[in-house]
Parts: sequence; C-alpha cells; structure tokens
Amino acid sequence: MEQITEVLSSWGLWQVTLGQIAMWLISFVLLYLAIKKGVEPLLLLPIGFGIFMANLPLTGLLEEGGLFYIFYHYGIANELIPPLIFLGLGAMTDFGPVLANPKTLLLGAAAQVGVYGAFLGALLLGFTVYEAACIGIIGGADGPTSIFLSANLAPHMMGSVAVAAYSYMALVPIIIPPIAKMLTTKEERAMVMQMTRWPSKAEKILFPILGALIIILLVPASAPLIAMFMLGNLFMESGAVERLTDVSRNALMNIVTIILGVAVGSTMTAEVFLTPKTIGVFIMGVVAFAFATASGVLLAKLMNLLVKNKVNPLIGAAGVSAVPMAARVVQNMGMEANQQNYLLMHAMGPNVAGVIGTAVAAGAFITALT
Amino acid sequence: MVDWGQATSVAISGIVSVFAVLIVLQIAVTITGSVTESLAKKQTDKQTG
Repeated sequence: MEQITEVLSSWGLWQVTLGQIAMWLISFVLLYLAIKKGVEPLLLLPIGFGIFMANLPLTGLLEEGGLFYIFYHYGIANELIPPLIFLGLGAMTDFGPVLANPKTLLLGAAAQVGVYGAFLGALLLGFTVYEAACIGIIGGADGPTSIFLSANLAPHMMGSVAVAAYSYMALVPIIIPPIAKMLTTKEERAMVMQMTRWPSKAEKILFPILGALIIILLVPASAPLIAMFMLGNLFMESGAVERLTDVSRNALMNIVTIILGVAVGSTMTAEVFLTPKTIGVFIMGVVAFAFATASGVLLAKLMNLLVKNKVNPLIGAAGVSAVPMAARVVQNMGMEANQQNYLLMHAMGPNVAGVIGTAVAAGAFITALT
Repeated sequence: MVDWGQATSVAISGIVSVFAVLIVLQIAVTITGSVTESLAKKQTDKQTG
C-alpha cells in the first residue's frame, strides 16, 4: 500500500500549476500557427514543443545535466548555435545585388536606426538597459541575432524576444506595406530601377574576406556572427568546397535549428514568461519593426535628394533583414504601383545589408553594455 | 532609474558604428568593383587587340 502511495505521489500530475497550463495553451497556439498556418514553422514548431515540455513537472529536462539544460547551456549560453545558423545563412546568401549597387548597404544601416529608437522606447517603458537592447534588436528582424544578443545581455528574456522576433518576421507582409505606403507617393513606388552592372566572380569571392576584415576590425564583438556568415558565403562563392557548402546550408542548418528551437522554447517556463514584461516585449517588438521599416524608407528618400542614380524608396523597407520575405513584399508593392516594376533584385541589396547591419548593431550593444 | 546619459551614448555609438561599418564597406566594395572591372577590361582589350 505504501509503495502504491509512493508511486502515485511521484506522478507529475499532482504538481501541475495553473501557470504551466497557461504555457501549454501558448505552446499549442505556436504549434497551431506553425503547422496549420505555416508561420515560420522551422522555428515555431520546435519552440512550441520546447515550451510544452519545459512546462511539464518533474521531468528534470531543465535541471543541470538534463537534456534541455545541455541544449541551452552548450548551444546558446556558450554562443555556439547562432553563429552556426549564420554559417548556413552565409552559404545561402547572394551578395550580388549589394556588389552591383553598393549604396544599398546604407539602406541596411538605416533600418538599424529603428533598432535604437525602440531601444530608447523600451527604456521609457521601464525595461533595464540590457532588456531594452534585446527588445530593440527585434526591429532588425533577425532571429539568430536576437537570440545571440539576449544570451549575452538578458538571458531571462530570450524566449519572449525570440518568439516576438520570429512572429513579426512572419508578419512582414502585414507590417511593411502600410508603413511604406504612408511614407511614399504612388509615383515613387512606381519608379523603375535599372540593374547597373553584374559583379564578377572575383568580386563575389573577395567580398566575404573584405567584409569580415572591415566589420570585425571596426566592431570586434560582432565577430562570432560575422565570421561564420562570411565563411559560409566564401564556401558558396569559391565553388571549391561543394560538400561544405551543402552541409552548411542543409544538414548542419537543420540540426542546429532543431536544437535552437527546443532550447529557446525550454527557457519559457511559466514563472519566467507569464509576466507583464512579456507583453511589453511584444508591444515594443512591433514598434521596433515599424521604426526600422520607416527609417529605411526615409533614408532612401533622403538619398534620392543627394545622388544622381535615384532608388525606389520602397527598397529601403527591405533594410529590415527578414530575408527574403521583406524583399518579396517590396517587389509586390512595386508591381502594385507599376506592372513593369521588378524590384526584387534591387531590394535584396538592403535586405542582405540589413543582416550585416543587425549583427553589427548587436555587436555594438555588447561592446557598450558589457 | 534609467541613466539617460548612458542610454543615449549607447544609442549614438551604436548608430555611428553601424553607419561607419557599412559606409567603409560601401567604399571598399565600390573600389574593388572598379578595380576588377578595369582589370577585366584590360584583359579583354589585350585578347582582342
């Protein structure tokens, strides 16, 4: 009889709290969005399941030596996984549009102004300077960078920051158009851009080396992300290491995505996530995104006052990373204004420049705050 | 209590860093493009001439 009582009392069932049930519901919403609605499924599905598992009692998954503890401690806290994701991203990124029209790099920088605007806004709402930095970086629309910065500055906010970043990335087609439309005229959106030149193979091979040199010399704290991003790109552009390119952009990327998603989800326990600060993260996250979009468009308009070869201001909106969805949204908006307007390649310039800009902004935050 | 002096300097130094990096990168990319283009042109001229 005593044994039966002991077995029954060891059941997790008796330890379930209302907070944990609320977290199950949140995880089910994320799983629904990922599976049924196709919202960033590669990340939201493992994150959702990670949340579910992390909120089951007595599993030991999150205790020292537990499986999720190992994923988090060695994968994220040690800054291993976000740079590996960047390796894969580098092996998938074509810098051709940036090399063809280098001034689009500035539009990638402009979008980061929004990151700092949201940073100041989050401080006004009562977040600490570390938390505000993590919220601001959501505006860069780059999931791995948001996770990388949170791991460095505010690990307790990583879950909410990651979910906000990936959710808003999926909402790019809804967030960008009204802001870009509000800041441009129909004539501006209809402006056709010409491809000025096609970069040579040598330029494409030189870029990751030159880029890594310049960026890391100026902002050394961005090295983990930028080094791997440029290495992945060099794998691809050199054409000399097909197997490494393939494994970086496929097998390795998929493996680390699973571990990243589960590890991020596992940080979202009821006591950490169910706080008023989480609501603040989501509100300021969308503000950060809106600021970043607006900054890109406004700088493109400013550039048009100063340079001879004008750009369609819509491509400034692609300066938020969210590759390639932001560029596709810009393409659709351009075609809506003018059926002969093909902006996709032009928008890819600020789009990939935005990835670099966000990584640099994260490095600058780390340099300033640690 | 927010230290607005620190916060503003974080924001300004961050914006300056991002623009500095991307402006230097833009200049480097423009120069590299011009050099490789002129080298390629010279090589074509040599082959045809």
